[in-house]
Amino acid sequence: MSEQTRRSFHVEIEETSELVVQLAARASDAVARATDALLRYDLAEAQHVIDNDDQIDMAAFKIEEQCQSLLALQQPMAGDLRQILATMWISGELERTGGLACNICKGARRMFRIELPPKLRGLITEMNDEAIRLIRLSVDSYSEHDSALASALDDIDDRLDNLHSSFVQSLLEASSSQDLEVQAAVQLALVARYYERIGDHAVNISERVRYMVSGEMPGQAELIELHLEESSSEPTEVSLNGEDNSD
Amino acid sequence: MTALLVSLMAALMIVSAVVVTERIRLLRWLRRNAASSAHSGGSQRSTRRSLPVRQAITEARRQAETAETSQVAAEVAHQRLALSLDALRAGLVVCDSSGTIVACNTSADALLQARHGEALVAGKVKELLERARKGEEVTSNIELHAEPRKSYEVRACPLQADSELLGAVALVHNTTESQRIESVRKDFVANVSHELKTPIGALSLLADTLHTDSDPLVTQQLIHRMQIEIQRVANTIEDLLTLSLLEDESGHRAAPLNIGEVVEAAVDRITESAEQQRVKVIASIPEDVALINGSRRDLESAVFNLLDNAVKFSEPESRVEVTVTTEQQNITVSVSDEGVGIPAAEQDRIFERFYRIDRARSSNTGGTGLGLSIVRHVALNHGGDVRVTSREGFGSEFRLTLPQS
Repeated sequence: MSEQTRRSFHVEIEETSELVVQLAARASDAVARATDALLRYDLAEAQHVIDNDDQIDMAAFKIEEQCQSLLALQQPMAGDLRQILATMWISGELERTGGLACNICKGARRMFRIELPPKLRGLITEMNDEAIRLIRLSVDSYSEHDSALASALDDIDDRLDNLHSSFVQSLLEASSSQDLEVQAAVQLALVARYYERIGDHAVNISERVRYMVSGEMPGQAELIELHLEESSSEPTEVSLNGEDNSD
Repeated sequence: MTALLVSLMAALMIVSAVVVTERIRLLRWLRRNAASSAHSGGSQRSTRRSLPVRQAITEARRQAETAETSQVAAEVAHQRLALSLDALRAGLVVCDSSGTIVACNTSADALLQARHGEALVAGKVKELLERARKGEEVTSNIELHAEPRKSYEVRACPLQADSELLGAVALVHNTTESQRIESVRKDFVANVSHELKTPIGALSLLADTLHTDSDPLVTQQLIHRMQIEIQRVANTIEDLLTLSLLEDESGHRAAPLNIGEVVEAAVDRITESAEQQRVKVIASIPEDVALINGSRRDLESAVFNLLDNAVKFSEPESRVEVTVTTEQQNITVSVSDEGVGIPAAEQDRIFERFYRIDRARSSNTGGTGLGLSIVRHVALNHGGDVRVTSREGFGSEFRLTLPQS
């Protein structure tokens, strides 16, 4: 009976992981569609992405609900517990990615029919490709429990950050040479920021994967060290005030 | 007394003889009866027991052999069916009446295990199977927008026998290639119509206006516009004829030639228009280029088309570089520019006839929309190839590769 219950538990965890893979596919498809809407002036596509965001939210909510149910009913431990917690966090990151795709579509509507310089169009395409690549790599690391890949994602994200910097530079050049209206330039700066944020969410997913696999959160050691330093410095401050807390 | 004794003895002898005879008869009868009884009784028992057992054993053996043969036949039939389903390009998924997936072929298995874009297809398959096992026949098309772009058609229908639902089956078709071909066909019809009708329509309007307006200045302007439109139609017809000739004479009129000289001739032809657009053309041709077999006219036309495009889509004060390199058994002519570049999604379509990335821009740049089709045909006729690498907004590089003679 116990074995049966345990088998069902692991099947449920597996099903939840499949839902995460599905959610990631939805989110990256939304980003690709948003880029199409922006570069092809396709308002119908933009509306489609905005309308479908509810489905992404629902899928993320369903994953969270399943995770809560597993936590409450199965009382998982160790690796299982970490996987369920990581899955909950990851679904949140993917839900935000879908939200950012919506924001890109809203930007596309505000810039409807404004001709974009080729260099900016090219950089938007490249940022889109890179953002989707990062989402895919993060999902690969999650599905395969690949801590090494997850660790590399922060460095891989540098390319997207560099593209973002190049985009801002090109945007300033286009604005100064009167190739672009200020309103469109502001919208484009925001859109570029959305792509960069999508990359950050992918890096966050990879950090959760590292926690899931090893139990250590990236940056956790530094935080603990900082906390310890602060704790150890407190008595010194107190002693400076003339109070002695020593036994 | 003696007689009495004799007769008594005789009587005794007779009696004993009779007794003996009777005993012998009795013994014989008993023996015969016993033998008969033993024979007949034992045989019947044996028949009653061994005959049905033997028959049963034989029957069981026969049935076992039949069952074994049937099982082997069923296994072979099952294997044959499984291999046939695996050979299908379409994915096939079968679920039972409770919705549990009970069978799928190799294509479908890959899809169901997939991550990223195809995970959406797997989700759609499960969703449609769920609807189909309740008796609904459903079809859905899925477009995956992230690169590489793909499209799928998923169809699910219920499996029903004697009004009882046994489950459902889903078929998944990858429709990417068929949709691409359909899109090429549609665009070709639209583009050829645009390229041929637009100048004719313009000429018709200009002629009407010329007929009603007698002002010499306006007449002069109208005639000038008409000449431009006529030149446009003439260029289109000329390019169409060139393409038609290239299709007919593949491999004809080939002679050894120096590709360096061909490139120099093409650069000479483009120099004037490049200077007008303030674009600098830089040629880098090594002295000792190996000869190739080919048509000088066609190759010069191909290189000129590449240079013409590079100059047209370059900003003033930018550079166009043409280089000739030898790699293994191939000679490559590379034309690179710092122009507007080509969007990634369009790069595999630019060699189609009349295909234009931005129709609005085509009126400024002129051209017939056939230049790159001509280049591709020339390359293929010479056993070579033409490829493009481009970054939108940063420039493009076209590489025309030809085999050495």
